[in-house]
Amino acid sequence: MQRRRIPSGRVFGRGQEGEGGYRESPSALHVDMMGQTESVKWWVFALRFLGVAVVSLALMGLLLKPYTHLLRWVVGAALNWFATFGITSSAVEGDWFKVTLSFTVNESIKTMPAGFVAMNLPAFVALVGATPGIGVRRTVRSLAVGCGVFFVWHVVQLSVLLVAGVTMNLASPTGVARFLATISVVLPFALWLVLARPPFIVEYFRGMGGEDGEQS
Amino acid sequence: MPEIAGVSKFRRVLGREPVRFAVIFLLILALVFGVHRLIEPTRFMERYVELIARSVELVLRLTPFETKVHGSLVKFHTFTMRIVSECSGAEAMAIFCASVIAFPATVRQKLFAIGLGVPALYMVNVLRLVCLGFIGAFVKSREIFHFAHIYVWQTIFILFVVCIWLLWIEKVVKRSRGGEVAEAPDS
Repeated sequence: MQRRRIPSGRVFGRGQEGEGGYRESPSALHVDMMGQTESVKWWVFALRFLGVAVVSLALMGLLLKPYTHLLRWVVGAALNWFATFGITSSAVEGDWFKVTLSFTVNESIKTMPAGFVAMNLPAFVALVGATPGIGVRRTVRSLAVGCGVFFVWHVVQLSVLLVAGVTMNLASPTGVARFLATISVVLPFALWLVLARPPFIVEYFRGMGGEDGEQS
Repeated sequence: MPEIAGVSKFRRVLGREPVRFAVIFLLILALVFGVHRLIEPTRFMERYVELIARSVELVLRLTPFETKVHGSLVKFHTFTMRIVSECSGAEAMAIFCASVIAFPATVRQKLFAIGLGVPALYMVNVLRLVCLGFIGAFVKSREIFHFAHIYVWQTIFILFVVCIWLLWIEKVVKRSRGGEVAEAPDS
C-alpha cells in the first residue's frame, strides 16, 4: 500500500512540533494555519443551520406562490413553444405551503404540488448560510447560482412530470416522480459542496495533496 | 512512449482529491439508489418498513396513549399513519454512505462511520416519525402536519446527514492524521 507523509501539527491534532516531514515547508504551514482557522464544530454548524433554516422556510412560505406563478409561466411556455404540447390553461391555487400548480392538457387536468417540488431550496439556503468562513461574496454568489440551478431543475422536474403524466397516461408517474425526487434530495447537498466549497472540507483535501496542494 | 496531452490533463484533474470525491460520490450514490430501486418492490423492503413501524410503536408506547401497529400501519391515539418506502430514510442514508465512501480515509474509518452513522440516521428517522405521529394526533391542522412532513423534517434530515459526516471528519479522520506518516486513502 502506498504510504504518504502527512504534515503534522495543530490542524490534525496530535503531532509534535517540528516532527513531521513537511512541517517546515510553506505549504504545510499554510495547511496548518488554515486548518486551525477552518476547523468547524458540528454543533455550531447545526445551530447556524437551524437559524438560517427558520428564516429560509418563512421566506419560502411567503414567496412560494409568486415562485409557482413564475414556474407556471416558464413550464407552460417551454412545453408549448418548444414541444408544441398543447397546454390550454394553467392555474396556481392555494396559499403558503399548500400551493398547487395545474395544467390543462387535452381536456385533462394535471395538478402538481409546487411545495413538494420546491422543498429542497430551504435546505440548500440553510446549508450555505450556515457554512462559516466563506465570506459574504461567496455566500451571495453560491446562493444566486444555486437558486438559478434550482429554478432550472424545478422547471425540468415539472415539465418531465407533466409530459410523463400526459404521454404515459398515468395519474401519477410514480417511477419517474421517485427518480426526480431522489435527485431533488441529493441536489442541496451536492450543490452546497460544489458552490460553497466549505473551507473545512476543502482545506482537508488541500492537506491530502488535492487542489493546490502537493500530490505525492 | 509519448502521452497524449488530453489524457495527462484528464489524469491530473481526476488525481485531484475533490474531483475524485465528486466522481466517487456520484457513482456510489447511483449504485445505492439502483440497489434501492431493485429491492423496493421486494419482501425485504416490506420487512424493513415494518421494522420502522415497530420501532416507532416502541417509542410511542412510552406515552400513556393507545398505540398499535399492524404491518406498516401505526395507530397512535386518534391518528393512524402508514409508513411507506419513501419514509425509510434511504435517501439520507445513501447520501451519507456515498459521502463517507468517497471521502479520503482508511477502510476502517469508513466502516466505523457507516456502522455508527446508518443506525444513527435510522434512529433520527424513527424520531421524525414519532414527531409526525404526535403532530398528527394532537395538532388537528392538516397544514401543519403537511408543513412538518414535507419541509421541516426534510431539512432537518439533511442537517443530521451533514452533522454526522462533519463529526466523523473532525473527530475520527482528522485526528488520525495527526501522526507523521499516515496510510494513503483507499478510495
